[in-house]
Amino acid sequence: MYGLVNKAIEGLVCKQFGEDTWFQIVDRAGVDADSFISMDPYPDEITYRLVGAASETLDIPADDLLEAFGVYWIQYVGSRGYGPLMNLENRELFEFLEDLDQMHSRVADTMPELRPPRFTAERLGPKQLRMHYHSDRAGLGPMVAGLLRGLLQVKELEGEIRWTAKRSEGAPHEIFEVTLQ
Amino acid sequence: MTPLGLGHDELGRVFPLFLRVDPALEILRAGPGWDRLGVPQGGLLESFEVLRPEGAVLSWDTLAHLRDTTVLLQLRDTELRLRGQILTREDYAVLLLSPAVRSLEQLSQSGLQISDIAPHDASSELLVLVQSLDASLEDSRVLASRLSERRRRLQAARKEAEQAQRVAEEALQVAEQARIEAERSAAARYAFLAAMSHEIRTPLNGVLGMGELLDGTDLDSEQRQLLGTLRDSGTWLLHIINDILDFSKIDSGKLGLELRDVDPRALAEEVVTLLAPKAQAKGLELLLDVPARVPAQIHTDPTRLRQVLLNLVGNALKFTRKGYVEVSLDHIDGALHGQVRDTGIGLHPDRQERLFEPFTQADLSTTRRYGGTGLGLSISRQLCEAMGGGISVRSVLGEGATFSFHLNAPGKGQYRCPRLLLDGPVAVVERRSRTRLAWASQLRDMGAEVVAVDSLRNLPERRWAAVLVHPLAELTGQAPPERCFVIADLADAAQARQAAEGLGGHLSFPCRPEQIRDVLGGVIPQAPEPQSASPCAGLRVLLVEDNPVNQRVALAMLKRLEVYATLAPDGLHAVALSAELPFDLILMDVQMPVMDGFTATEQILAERGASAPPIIAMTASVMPEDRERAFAVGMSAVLHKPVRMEELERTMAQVLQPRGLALLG
Repeated sequence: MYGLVNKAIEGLVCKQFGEDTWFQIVDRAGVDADSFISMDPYPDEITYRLVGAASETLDIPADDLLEAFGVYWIQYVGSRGYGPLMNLENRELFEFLEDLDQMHSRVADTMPELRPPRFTAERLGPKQLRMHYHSDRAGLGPMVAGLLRGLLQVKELEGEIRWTAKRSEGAPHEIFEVTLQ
Repeated sequence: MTPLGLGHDELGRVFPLFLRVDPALEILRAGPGWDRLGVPQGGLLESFEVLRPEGAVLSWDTLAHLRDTTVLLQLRDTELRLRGQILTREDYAVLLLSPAVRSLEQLSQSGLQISDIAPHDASSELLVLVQSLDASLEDSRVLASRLSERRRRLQAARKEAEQAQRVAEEALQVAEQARIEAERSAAARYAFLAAMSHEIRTPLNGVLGMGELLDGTDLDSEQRQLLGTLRDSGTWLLHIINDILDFSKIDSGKLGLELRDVDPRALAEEVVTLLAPKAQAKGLELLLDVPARVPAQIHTDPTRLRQVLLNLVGNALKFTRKGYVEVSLDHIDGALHGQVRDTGIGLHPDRQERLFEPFTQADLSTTRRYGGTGLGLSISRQLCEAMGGGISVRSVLGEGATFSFHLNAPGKGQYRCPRLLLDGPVAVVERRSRTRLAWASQLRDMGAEVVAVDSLRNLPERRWAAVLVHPLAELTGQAPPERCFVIADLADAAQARQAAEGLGGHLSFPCRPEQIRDVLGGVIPQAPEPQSASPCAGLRVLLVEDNPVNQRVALAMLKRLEVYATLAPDGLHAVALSAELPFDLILMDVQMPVMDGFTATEQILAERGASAPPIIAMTASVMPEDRERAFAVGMSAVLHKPVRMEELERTMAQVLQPRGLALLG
């Protein structure tokens, strides 16, 4: 994964628990570096170890941590200058979700080692949308739930997110349903 | 239709910011991107300025000339620049424009979206790339700043550490200097006290020695009472001097330990025996408990251990008016643990902590009322600490105190309690409950079946292997039971011996198991009266002493011990006399005019060789150097003034024993 992801984990931990806690997590994870370059690719293992170590250090279940990370990711990438790329202000939430692959495609042109997930949106009604999430990485479903929750927050919308199909329960891919009030 | 043959919607999808103008440069149509910006009102000329090609002016004629070049237009009154190409036809022209921005942020600030860039325009990818590079640049800035911050902190920490090290070194130097000065001061104090003590001991030797001799003469009771006070005062003065010297010795770091294997039971019994008369005089029970798990021997400094025990037991007796004082020893993990418990006045909690500080008793009134230098507990603490242990106290005011100490003392050999082989149970008749229990426990440890009662009246009728009765009063006016033994306090030993005539025998308390076994275990022989008062009777002794008072004391003691004494006033005379006369032993003062005792000893040993008699130093000095020097020059023992007759007799007997000289008459 690109350093941007690890930096976001660092940002979340430092913001919520302080820099000392971050260094403890890095030590526990056995990761050599305590800082990352956004545009450098790093092995996925580092990210997983950081999440695991953070879960142990903070005594928070890894899934809860990933979901919180998903919420934080939306505001983090916005703050790192990618806001215009996401263009959330000028688009409806569902319009944005339908365009996710397009956005990743643009990013992938500048990040050659990016292995972005694939999202397919299926409108079920004017206020309901089904998201199909495909990824060759395992265990990141809670993060997607967090991303969707984060988007609702940014768009100041009330709504419900249901995780209707899970790979861990035998489904071929993850499926979420977003229902707006 | 547009010149490309495309509909406006299609053209809008390919060029979201296209403009179609007529020959008057009025805008006829605009792409969907303009919806967000607002279609420029008025003509092209009013809305745009040509930035490139430089100097070009917008007019219908120039548009055709500009079609072969890329134009850069500035939307008036905004920051937005648009780049593109112009296609012209006879009655209209189309400007195919795209935003010319340097970042996604600038695009956003212009009110445009990334989808407003023509899809085939690589600018969108470039903008994302630029954003990514910006992100990396920001990372680098953060890292550089963090690195600088860490370097700055490291620098500050290093400076602080250097400063702290300097302060610590300075403090260390000051402390070292203070230590040296304190040691020097303590050593000087000790030397002064040792010198003073020497000066005090010399006349004190006269006082105590004469007192002891006087005690052996015919005195009426009033004279004996006065003499008793005189001797007690002298002894007490000696005790105070010893305390102060001990404290000073420890304070100046001159305390040396002499470790050897010691029988802990014998040592504790010795202490209890020594203090038993004091306990008896106050009507206190003095008890000793040493369980079988305490080894037969421990490796320690017996003198110092005895000193600690004497101090603690002495204190307990001093501060206890009624009840008991119990001494117990235990041995755990290579350490001797001792406890002295009393039912005395106890201590206020506030005063327990500083009790072990020098010159501190519970309060000044305690000193006035009970006497003492206040150094005893401080010395005991320092002695315990010097032996790798410590000391503590637990107490409730008015309910007594328990002093506990421990010191390193590796054990050696398992203690085997002597066994009694009796043909029946043993009865103990003792009024005092704790002493009764102590007797019963000791006898049971020896394998006896024991019944303990508080008076003869309560003694069951049965056949006893032995009946131990205390106090003596129990036996007056009634027939003693069969196989009756008298048990008595130490001070009553003579009385007990008398009372035991015709009975099984007598035992004193405290009593070693071996003694009990010897007395109860078989036929009870009556102890023979000693044939001679002194084992030293008949010895020929050369006394070398310059001080007239000490001469008189020593000569009188030697006379009492039935020793033939010859006097030499200094070392030189001693050398001459020892060459002429065959002495069995020489008592040598150390500090003398003309020739001191060390030099005289060296000369005598040099002249007489193996035939020289043993030489005992008699000195008022307490400096360890003098003691070491005495042995170094070949003396056999050292006696410290004031010398007691019993000690003199014992030491003479000890040094002569290896030579096989007749000591027992």
